[in-house]
Amino acid sequence: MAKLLAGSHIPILIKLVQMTDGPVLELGIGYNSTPLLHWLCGASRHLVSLEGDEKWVKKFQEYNVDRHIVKHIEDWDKADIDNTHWSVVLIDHRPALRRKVDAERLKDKADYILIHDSEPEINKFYRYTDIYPLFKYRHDYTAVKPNSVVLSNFKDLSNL
Amino acid sequence: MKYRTGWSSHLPVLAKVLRVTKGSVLELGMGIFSTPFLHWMCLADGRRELFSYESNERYFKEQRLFSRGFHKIELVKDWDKIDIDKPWCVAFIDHEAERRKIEIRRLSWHARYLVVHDTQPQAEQEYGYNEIYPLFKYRRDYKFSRANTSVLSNFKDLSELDA
Repeated sequence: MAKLLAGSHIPILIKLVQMTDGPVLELGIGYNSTPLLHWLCGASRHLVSLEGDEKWVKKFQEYNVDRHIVKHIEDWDKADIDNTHWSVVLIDHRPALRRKVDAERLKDKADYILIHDSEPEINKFYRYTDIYPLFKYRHDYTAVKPNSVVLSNFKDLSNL
Repeated sequence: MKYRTGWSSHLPVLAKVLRVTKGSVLELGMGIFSTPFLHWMCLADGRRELFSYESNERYFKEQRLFSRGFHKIELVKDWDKIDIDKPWCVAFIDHEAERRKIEIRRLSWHARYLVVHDTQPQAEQEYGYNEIYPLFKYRRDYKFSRANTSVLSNFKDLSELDA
């Protein structure tokens, strides 16, 4: 059931992509976000989708084109994500506790960091609350559940 | 299974149309890309009424857990008998090839916006869309993918989609 009801971050993800025009990073690929980002970013925006499960990378291989890199990552520590300032980063990868590590890593490298599965009752799995103090701005997207959270050190999120 | 890019090329067009509209949404032909997308977009936009119809039992079973108060999902035995001949704000057409032009005709004066998938000329033999284009005053074709998507309307001149 959880798999079928995935995708609750779609509305806020669209909003963030449409209000920005720079590069987009997706950590953790999936059928609810990768195709959407592929088409929303169009021909002009750089999009990088990274995934730890090679099986999923193969499923989405056709999306791997010049402007959209779809790549398998064996070691998240070695992922080349620190040398770009991203407009939007979507954090939705595994393992669960890796998400806060990469959010912290990107805290000064992204205008908007969108993290999925942020409702308080599952914080014990993800421990996002550890990294919230590292950001100036935070917006809890609770219109739909599972919740998402947007974090930024660059953009006031009151317009979301 | 490998996912083809053309299977999801309707998403940005649906996003565009949903952004400029407010009312009920009809989905003919469910799928792993369109059904979750429409579900969450309609839920986030004040629980817009959403009806999804599918004749393939496997696709229906895969997506039926999205059924909610605002989102009605129905397995179709006979497309002629589905209750769609009433006003819709947006209708998404992506169901059985031979049925598409029939439902488009049925909806031509009921739906303000029809979003039609697979409208590339190379697929004309399969879908026969050329027969129904003359029924509409306004049309926009989106060709950024090999699988094109078109928006048809008899009510809106579609210029708001250009913004």
